[in-house]
Amino acid sequence: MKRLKALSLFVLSLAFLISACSDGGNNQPAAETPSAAVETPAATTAAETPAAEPGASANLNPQGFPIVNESISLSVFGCKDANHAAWKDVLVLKEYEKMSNVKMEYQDAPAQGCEENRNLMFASNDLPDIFLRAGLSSTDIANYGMQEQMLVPLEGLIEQHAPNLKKLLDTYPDVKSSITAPDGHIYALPSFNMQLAGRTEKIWINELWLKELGLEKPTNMDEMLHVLRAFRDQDPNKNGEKDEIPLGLREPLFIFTALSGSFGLERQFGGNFNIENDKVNLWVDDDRYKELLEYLNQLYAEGLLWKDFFTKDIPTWRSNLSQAKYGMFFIFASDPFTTVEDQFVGMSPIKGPRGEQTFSHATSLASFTSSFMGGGNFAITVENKHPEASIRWIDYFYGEEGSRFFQYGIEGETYNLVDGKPQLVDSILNDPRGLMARLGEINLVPGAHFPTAVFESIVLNKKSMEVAEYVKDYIPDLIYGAPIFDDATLDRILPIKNELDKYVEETSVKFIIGELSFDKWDEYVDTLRKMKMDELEQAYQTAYDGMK
Amino acid sequence: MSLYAPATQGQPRAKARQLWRRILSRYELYVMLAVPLAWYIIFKYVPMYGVQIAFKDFSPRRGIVGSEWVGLEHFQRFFESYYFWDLIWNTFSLSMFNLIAGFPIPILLALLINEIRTKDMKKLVQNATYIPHFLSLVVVVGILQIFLDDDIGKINQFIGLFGGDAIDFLNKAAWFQTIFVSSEIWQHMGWSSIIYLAALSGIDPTLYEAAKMDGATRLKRIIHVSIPGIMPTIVILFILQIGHMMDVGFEKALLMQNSVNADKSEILSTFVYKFGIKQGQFSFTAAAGLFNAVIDFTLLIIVNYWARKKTGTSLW
Repeated sequence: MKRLKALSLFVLSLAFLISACSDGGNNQPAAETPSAAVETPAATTAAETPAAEPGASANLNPQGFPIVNESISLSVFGCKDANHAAWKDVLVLKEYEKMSNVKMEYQDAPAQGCEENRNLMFASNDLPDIFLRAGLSSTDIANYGMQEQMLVPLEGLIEQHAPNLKKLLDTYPDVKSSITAPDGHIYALPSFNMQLAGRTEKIWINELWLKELGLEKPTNMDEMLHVLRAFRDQDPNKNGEKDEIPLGLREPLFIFTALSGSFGLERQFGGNFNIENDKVNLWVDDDRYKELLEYLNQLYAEGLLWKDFFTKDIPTWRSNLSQAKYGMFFIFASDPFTTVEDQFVGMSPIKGPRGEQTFSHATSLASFTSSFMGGGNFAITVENKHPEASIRWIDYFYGEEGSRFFQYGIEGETYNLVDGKPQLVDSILNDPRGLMARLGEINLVPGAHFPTAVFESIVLNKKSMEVAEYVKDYIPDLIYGAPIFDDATLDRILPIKNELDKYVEETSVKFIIGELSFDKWDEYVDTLRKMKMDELEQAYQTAYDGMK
Repeated sequence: MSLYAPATQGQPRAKARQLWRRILSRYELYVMLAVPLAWYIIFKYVPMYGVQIAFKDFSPRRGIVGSEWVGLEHFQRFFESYYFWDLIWNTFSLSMFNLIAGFPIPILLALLINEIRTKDMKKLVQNATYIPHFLSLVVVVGILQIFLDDDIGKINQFIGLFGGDAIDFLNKAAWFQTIFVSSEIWQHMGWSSIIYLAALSGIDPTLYEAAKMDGATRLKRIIHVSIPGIMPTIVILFILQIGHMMDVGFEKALLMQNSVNADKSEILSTFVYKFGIKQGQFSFTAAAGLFNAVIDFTLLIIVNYWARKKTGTSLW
């Protein structure tokens, strides 16, 4: 009996071990797969594009649908937004599969942890055929594209098989240069936002409160102080409690983007850079930045700024937003607060100390690495046996017909043409779970960054478009996206940039909340110099000279 | 080769056969041991060969063995980091604080529980103190945030009752270590005291009686009988804790961090996570991790040696 018990215990523990092994398989790539990687031949050169299967070109239709005569299957990895349904269930993608005859096996990872997932895929050399909306940063492209040659150069494929994309790149040569890596190849494709309103954050102010208090929209720093103070003290939402939050900045990022334009500070290259007389200037050591911080410090000290702005607690910020607690704030569109959106109206940026009135929170035409999130949105890996079909697959979405199909779905089913403009059917617009949740079952619009060209944005509802009008004239004419550095430069400046960004963010927060007095400004600037800020600036200058 | 050789030659073989028979007779024990042993070998020892990427420029295409050697480049980058000394100090001081404040408490708790007469009371106190150990870290940090919030937190409301000003516990670097360590103690003291209680129960009761007869007070009995009785346990656990000096609470620090308390809350492991793993720089991360492990190991050896000399008890 004792032997029997011992034996069954042994079998049970063996079963546990085996089940742990199979689950742990995903978490132990370093232990298992590198041995496989060692056996594969050494790194292939860029010249070897993946060999298409024999007869693949015969299978491919050079134009029109279906894309291939005999169905092919491709594996796709991407980051799933919270509002997306499982990608294999998304309407537009399922419909497109029928149209194109290209079966996609989706490995969609939830947004939280997607970055780690992606890194692990690269590190274990366990690649899908396509990266779609996977948040590839320019660092990834430099590293895994240029250096490791795990991504396939696309310019040849675009030239031959992607007419829509080719047209866009020919029309906007600065976009083409910004997505081209230093070795002359294009490794990943961006999303295009053809409408200006689709590329910029907007300034919102509570008109109801302004009317209630008999105030006008502020146009300069003093007026803004006055209005915010009134919001704080005079209970404009008339609920008997002083629960109004005058200025609702969402997170530390907004220190650099929200009001910086009024102080003459722009956001070029996806970072805190200005371009003045062809010189690239990292402005975190500027006196103008000190002025901005002093202003924010005053706002914070007087209780005019949301006091938790640096905790990165976005759910709480959104909850405040949907309860209309903020007097003034910055957001792309009104979808998180449509129930109260009528209280708000658009506003132009205030004039700063020298009368400057720029709005910096905008991105370039093609958002590759935008200040919002995301990164390179479409890439083909060396594992892909059907690169031509893949590029044709994505090219459809860069044209007007494909763009409309992606955003609005199927005519008659999910949208109707009203005065020639597509409009979603009411059952979708009024879905009790919210527009974005419903939309996530139809396409991958929620969360943006799908590699497509947006000609008529579906996210920007009427309200958001109205509000956008107020900032349109104040966005810089030319906004450069983040450059793609070559590996040697990246090795040098990435550590510098990481630490500098961390130091700047933390110290700026401390200045604003009063933890650090402005007497220590010179110390701060000295530390920046010691952290090799000049070297970083120089690297961007070199990149800019190459972009012009 | 003498006539007497067979006897001496037979002995090792006989010994081996004896050993083998002993093993077989208790095969259940070895079977139970086999599984954890296999786990250790597969998941802890075998992957060690991967640590070489700390000295290489890891390229996924070439794999671990095929990547090229770069020597101490990553270590150099690590040491030259602007934050390097702050990180070392933060990690070390947090760990020391945890050790000095947190190590004696479970011992004291065990001694106290041991003195309780009624069995029911004893069980009650034990259970009440070790339940928090099972709470997930995320839950504990969530509780901390609710209680210590400077607006709605209970602690600040309590302070307000006495006319004091609210203290912004969560956003001041100065409070970080205190909150970290005290919540550690609260959460784990019950569980950690269990092993000391087990050791205490192993002390010969006649020793206590002898002490009582000699006129020792309760306190004197604790100092002269209980504590020496569990001293070997204390020493061993102390050595083990030293071995974890440099990897103090990564997840907890990460959850409690924000821009303002980063001065004190940024420790080696969180830094490496943010700049190494999140950005896919595996070689750099491996170098920092190796550095951590080397320091831990050195401390372990030193403390073990010292313990052996001083108290005769040690790990090896």
